[in-house]
Amino acid sequence: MTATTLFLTRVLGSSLLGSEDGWHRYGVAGGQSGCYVDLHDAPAAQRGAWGVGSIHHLAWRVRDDAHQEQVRSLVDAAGRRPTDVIDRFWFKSVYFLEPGGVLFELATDGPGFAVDEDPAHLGEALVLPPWLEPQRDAIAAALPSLSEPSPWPARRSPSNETTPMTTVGIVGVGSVGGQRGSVHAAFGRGAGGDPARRPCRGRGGGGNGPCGRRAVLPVRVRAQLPFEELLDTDALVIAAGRNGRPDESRLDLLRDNARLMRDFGARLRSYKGIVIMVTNPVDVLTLVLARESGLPLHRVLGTGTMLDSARLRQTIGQSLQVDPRSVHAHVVGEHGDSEVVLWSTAQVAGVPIRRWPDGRRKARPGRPRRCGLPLTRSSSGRGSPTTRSGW
Amino acid sequence: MEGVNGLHHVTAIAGPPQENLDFYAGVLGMRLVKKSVNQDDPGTYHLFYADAVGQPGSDLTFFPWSQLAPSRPGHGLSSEVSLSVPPTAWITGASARKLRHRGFRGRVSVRGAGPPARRSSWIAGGAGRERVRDAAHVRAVGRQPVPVGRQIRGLESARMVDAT
Repeated sequence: MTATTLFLTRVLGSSLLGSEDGWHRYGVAGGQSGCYVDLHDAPAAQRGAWGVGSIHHLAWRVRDDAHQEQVRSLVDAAGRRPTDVIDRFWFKSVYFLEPGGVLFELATDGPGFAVDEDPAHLGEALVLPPWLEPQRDAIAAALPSLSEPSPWPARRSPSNETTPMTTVGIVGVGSVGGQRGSVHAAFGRGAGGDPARRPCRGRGGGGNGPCGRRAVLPVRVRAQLPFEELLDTDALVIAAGRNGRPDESRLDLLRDNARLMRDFGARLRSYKGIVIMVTNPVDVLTLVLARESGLPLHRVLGTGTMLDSARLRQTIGQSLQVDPRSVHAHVVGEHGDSEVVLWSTAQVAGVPIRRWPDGRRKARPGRPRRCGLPLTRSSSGRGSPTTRSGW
Repeated sequence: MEGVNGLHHVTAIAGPPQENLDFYAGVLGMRLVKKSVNQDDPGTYHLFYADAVGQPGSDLTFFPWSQLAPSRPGHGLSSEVSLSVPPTAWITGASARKLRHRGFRGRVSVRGAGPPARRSSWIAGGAGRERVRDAAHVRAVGRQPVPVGRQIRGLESARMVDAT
């Protein structure tokens, strides 16, 4: 019995109905429509990642509030830390992670979809729960319009129309590892590519070692081009500027790099895409470029402490020998000497790190780490409190 | 001890909402029973498809988050759902489309992937004869592009990789 099968049988009340080709079917009594979950034993499987095409959660039926509370308390007793009851209006929900990490929900049968619409006209109009009604106009304006379903494939569009290729420009390709890592960080799943205008779909890893992730976005990276040729991109990563020297703090860089950013800002006044600032001191330069360009603030972003947080998770993961994706820990503040690690909210697989065996002690590295980027000492001599990794 | 009563709904992450609507209502013949928004992210839709009356246990719902990257199958998430179908129509139709057939203890299944046509995201899966009797309570939908006899009836099962 695995932890998941124990949970399915002892807590959710299902039983093993049969096995076939490595799949085990568990079923629950009383189900009318779907009442099965099929499990495939794969101890060595890699961890999946949410995205288009995956299931977000599985919801299980409970008859009413009392039944929900009863199962909820069983889930709680099994250590799965269920949420409080959340009123989803058409049913009430409790969420928790089963032992394997799949998001489960307990949902009540009632009151059902007819609670706020004529049963003959379900789904025809945009329906909002009452607490969102005051914002109806803004919400409706933000949603794409939907027309009547057409029989497949009458309106089927080529895949390159449904997921247009995003073009990202990079300004400043000095230390490629750093910029690729920033593109990785900025796009979540990475977009490490060749600086030579090659489509980089599916290229994994990239130049940022353990901090990078698999490249899966349809992103085209353009770099080493004249600045003006980068103005029709969807996003522009600004990595230009000089690097810090070991004997200066990040703020010492400011004078030189701010001059450069004012120049860029002036040339970006009509830019239509998103600007992602990487050059240090990143938070100040983001503001400098945003002001000089006059672009809306939501289109001028700095990477802030994103990489620091990623490295912190990597370090904690390595120290505790768990997958860094199971580590939730944040570095906040200005990216640089004054940033702060939020140890009090750091969690490993949902468990606060202070309760993890030796967690706090092991997770704080005693020596500087390097992650493809130069180590720079702070002028105060304290170094970065994150992982002492420099930037 | 009383456990749960089967699947209530399955919520998946989809691509563009119109493509999602065209496929689940236009091809599979499910009824869009609720057009709402993600209550935790009200700028995006939450689309609910179910049988004719929206019974619990028949709904497959979607967050159309087309800005996300494609998912990666593995443990820690479920990436396939089986739907209960009227067998004759689907096995015949599936043969014509060269979809894969697969059994589970005597049931005949038809496997295919919904849009976007990337890595398989779910199976339009199957039902043997006994399942059709069980599924008789699930009502078919009128006024859909798909004939009543070919419509998806509801949820059958979900699949998970167990690495615990």
